[in-house]
Amino acid sequence: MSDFLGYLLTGLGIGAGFALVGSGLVAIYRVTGVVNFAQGAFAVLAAMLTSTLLTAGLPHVLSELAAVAVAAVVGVLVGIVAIGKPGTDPGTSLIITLGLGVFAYAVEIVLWGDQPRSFPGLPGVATVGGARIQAHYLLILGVTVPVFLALAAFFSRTDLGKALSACASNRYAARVVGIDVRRMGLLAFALGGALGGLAGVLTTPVQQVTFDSDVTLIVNGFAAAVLGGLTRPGVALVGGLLLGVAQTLIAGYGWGAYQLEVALLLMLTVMIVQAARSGPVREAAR
Amino acid sequence: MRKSLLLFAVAAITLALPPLLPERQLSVYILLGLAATVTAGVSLLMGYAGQVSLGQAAFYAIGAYAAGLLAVHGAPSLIGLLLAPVAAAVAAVLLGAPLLRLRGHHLAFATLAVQLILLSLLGQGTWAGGAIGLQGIPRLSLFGAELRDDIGYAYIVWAVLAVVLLISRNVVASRSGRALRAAATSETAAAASGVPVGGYRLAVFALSAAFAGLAGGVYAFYLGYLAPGSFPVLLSIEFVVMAVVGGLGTIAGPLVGAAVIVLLVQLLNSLGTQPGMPSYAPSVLSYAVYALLLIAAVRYMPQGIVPTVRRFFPRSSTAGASSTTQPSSTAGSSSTDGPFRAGGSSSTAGFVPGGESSVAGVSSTAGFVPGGESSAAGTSSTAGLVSKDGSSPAAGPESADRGSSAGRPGVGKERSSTERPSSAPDSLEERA
Repeated sequence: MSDFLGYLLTGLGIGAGFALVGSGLVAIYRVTGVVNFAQGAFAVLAAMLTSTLLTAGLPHVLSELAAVAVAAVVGVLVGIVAIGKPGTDPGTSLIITLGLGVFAYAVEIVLWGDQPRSFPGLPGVATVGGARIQAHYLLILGVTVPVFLALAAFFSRTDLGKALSACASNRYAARVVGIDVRRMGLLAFALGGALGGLAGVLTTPVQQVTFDSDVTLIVNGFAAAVLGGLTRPGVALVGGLLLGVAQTLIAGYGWGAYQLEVALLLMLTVMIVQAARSGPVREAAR
Repeated sequence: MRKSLLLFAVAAITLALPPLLPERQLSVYILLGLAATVTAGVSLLMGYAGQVSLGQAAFYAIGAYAAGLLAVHGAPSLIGLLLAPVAAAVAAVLLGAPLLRLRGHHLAFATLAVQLILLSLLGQGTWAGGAIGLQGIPRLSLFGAELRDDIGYAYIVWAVLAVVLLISRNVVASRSGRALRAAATSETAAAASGVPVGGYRLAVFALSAAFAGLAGGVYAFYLGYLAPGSFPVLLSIEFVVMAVVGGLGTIAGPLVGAAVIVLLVQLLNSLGTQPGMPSYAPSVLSYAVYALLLIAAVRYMPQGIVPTVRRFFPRSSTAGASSTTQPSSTAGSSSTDGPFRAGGSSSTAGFVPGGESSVAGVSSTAGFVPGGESSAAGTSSTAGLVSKDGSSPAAGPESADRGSSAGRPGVGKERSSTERPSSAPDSLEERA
């Protein structure tokens, strides 16, 4: 039983990382209609930067915050390239972000080399209900849940958040009432960058990061987000947590080699079921 | 006339090249040919079925492993080579049946997921050599003669690429090719005019997988060693880059795209391995090249190299085709959404004439003028039908509020209104 609880909490911690990457995807997709393939790169970039800042002697919270801020700026830059040219359609933007993701490899290797990196997180072991887990997993959860609450409040209570939601629900009408849709798109990219960066700095102490770990991150994040049709951050949170718990349980009970397959099959099933339910012809909705 | 001359020149030069190349360059020649073969499939899938596959290297791997496993277990190598594309196509049909319900980014991620699953399974399967890889694959032997030297493989690759390009040309020029293009621009309109969209899409998916599988088979015999690490996700992305840079939906595009990128990467590689350069230089340079070329191509040359170059030499295709090509391809390039059908009515109108011009150009190369004439006319009538659908009242409001998302409704409408008159006379002219 305590094994199970341990796996559950660890899984929730890992899943929170997926949820953050996924919610970054959602934030960008809702507003711009672009699936940002460079989302995983934000996380890798922020994690690498944090390790450098920590080695340079900056204290813990400060380095992480600085890295997240840089990730947000990088997000805006990605957004400018991806949607900056008016009339770029989402499919083209996906290809552009794909290119930017590969470009990030080049930058990361130049700056940090191609070896795995990590940095110490919250030290110590916590005991919850008889299960001993690394305290850092609790920290991940303790940060992620408030972040999602703040996101929900931001989207529903603030003017800026409402403007973003307006672009998400009807871009044309949003433009009519005077919302600058492109600026909102860039803002969404900044938000996505920050969320991706946060995922990176939170999960790196328990999972090493290499320049190409963005593929795993983006696929898991997409799997988490696709559960809510890529538009609902709350569902992305649930999806990410479920995915994390499922993977940890599978690994914990001896099927560790197959945890990625399970996550991917889950994602494929969800997408196929969604496509079957919404019918074959959906081109007007794109 | 000039076009067929060009074709002969390219064929003659590429055939004469292998004996003149030193060993190291010969392997570049072979890998370039294999990349072009896979890219031909990607280009067909992206340009004609309107779908992005980020998992094409999975079918490359399936073909390679099928050939390799058969050969290792004692089957004649020719059988292995012939079964490689079959295995890849069968896998594509089985996977495509559920997956092709998905569109756009969903399909992109689904194909990526398929590749990751395959790599993971190959890495764990002891039957496939596991993570260490499949070793001791014999060399290819044709009719009792074993191919030992690279030069033999160079000619095999040449023949494979020629066959693949010939097949794509025939598919594109055929009735089903036209139907596919119609389906890529508007699925509803195509289905309404009786195109079995799902079946055709699955067929193209299988065909593109077969191309990749065939290339994979040759690769297995050429290297004699396969590992999951030989087929990374980045390889799939490379194929997409080559297809986009070369020009989607054109026959020469895959060859041009693969040549440009492989040669550029080779050049940078030799630059990066110069003494004094840091050890990471080659990989950094190649990543940067893929990324920058892809972004530059998508943003500034959305139709790719081949159609862009063709626009500068309008006389290279027949006079009749060039007069219609000129305005329509300019209109097409003004909208950034070349290969994708996500835009409003303007993009559908813009894309079809572009594709049509390539068909006209290609059929004139082969010199079957009567067939070419009728197929061009057929296409333009489809284009007419599609643009009618895009501007029909039923689809209008929806596509106005969501489709033209990234841009400005005013400009979008303006664009389509300048375009429609230009494409309408086209079709009239060609029908006459």
